[in-house]
Amino acid sequence: MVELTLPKNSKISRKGKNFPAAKGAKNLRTVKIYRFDPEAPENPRVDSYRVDMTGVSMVLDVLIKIKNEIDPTLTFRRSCREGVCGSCAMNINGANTLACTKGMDELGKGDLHIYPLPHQPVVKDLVTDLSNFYKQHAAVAPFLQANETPEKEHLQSHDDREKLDGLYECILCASCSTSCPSYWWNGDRGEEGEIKDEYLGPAALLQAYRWLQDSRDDARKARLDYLEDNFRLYRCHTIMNCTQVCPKGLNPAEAIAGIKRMMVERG
Amino acid sequence: MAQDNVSISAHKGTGSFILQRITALLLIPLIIWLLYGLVTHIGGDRAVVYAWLADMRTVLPMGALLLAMFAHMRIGMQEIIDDYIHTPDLRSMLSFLNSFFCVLVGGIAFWSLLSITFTA
Repeated sequence: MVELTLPKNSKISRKGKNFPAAKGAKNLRTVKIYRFDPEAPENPRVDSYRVDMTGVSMVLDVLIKIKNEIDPTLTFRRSCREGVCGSCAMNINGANTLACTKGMDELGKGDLHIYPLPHQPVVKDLVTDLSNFYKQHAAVAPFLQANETPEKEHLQSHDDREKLDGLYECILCASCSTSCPSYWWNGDRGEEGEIKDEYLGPAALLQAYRWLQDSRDDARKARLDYLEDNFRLYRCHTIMNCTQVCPKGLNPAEAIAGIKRMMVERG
Repeated sequence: MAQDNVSISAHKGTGSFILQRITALLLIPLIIWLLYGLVTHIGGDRAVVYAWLADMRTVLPMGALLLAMFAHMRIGMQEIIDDYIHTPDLRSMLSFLNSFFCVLVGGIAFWSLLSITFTA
């Protein structure tokens, strides 16, 4: 059966630490952050930080400020700080997004709640293990498969190239897949290294559609054959959380609908 | 990589996907027709309703309604089973019971309709 209760030792304890504001700090805001170390014999907790928001514009700035000035043990991923690498994807005030492109002015007033991406194994604090997510991405063969090798490059008309807009821009941050209830229930069902009875999730299916739409690709039949599965594709119930949260403004739900349309058309 | 894994793809789901949508579309007018039929017979006695059910203008849409409804119900229940039951053996057993229940109850409903038609 689906797990409706939290796994052992994952329930959030009430032993969160409070970090008061520095003396003389103004423009204060409370930031509550999920903290968990699998190697420590403690359940996760939520720590509260009183942070001076002066000069802070993005959520990632807040995290860096906390790590630099208040608590160096806070762990999170970040790299490009401009919405290109997808490293800092996390759950901010209840919605998955990138900390580096989420402006503080978008989050209204009140406390800030920051958690790791939902339903993924936590490596530490806000860092999740995305191995399974990457395995699913690899499974849809996200690369060109052409029968012939041209002398120079594979040519493509402007119209065919336009079909890839809104598909190729995915940065694999996993915000969409980890916001999908169907992915929570059926995103990790396969055995190690195998994808069986497992939903591939919005991100992998968006990539699959990107290659199905590519006029230069010759593996369309094989790609559709691979996706025609009660679990890999048809666990999508058009919940639309994926489209709602995508920090790049992409529409994975529409891409999945496109794959289903292709399935129907080929009969 | 996708080509390597083709052999372990279930190659199913599209048929149910299409059938679910067709039956959903069919059920919209059929349910409205049923409600209209029931409302117009409020206060009527058993003989009146019996005569209505035995009329060929009722039997055909009612038969279509039963067929679409039980097909739709089976697919809907199957979706729930696939979503929430992760143990393969239990899922197979519940899938069988789901189909069995829909065929059995749908069959009884169909048989009841026909028996009214031919005995009224």
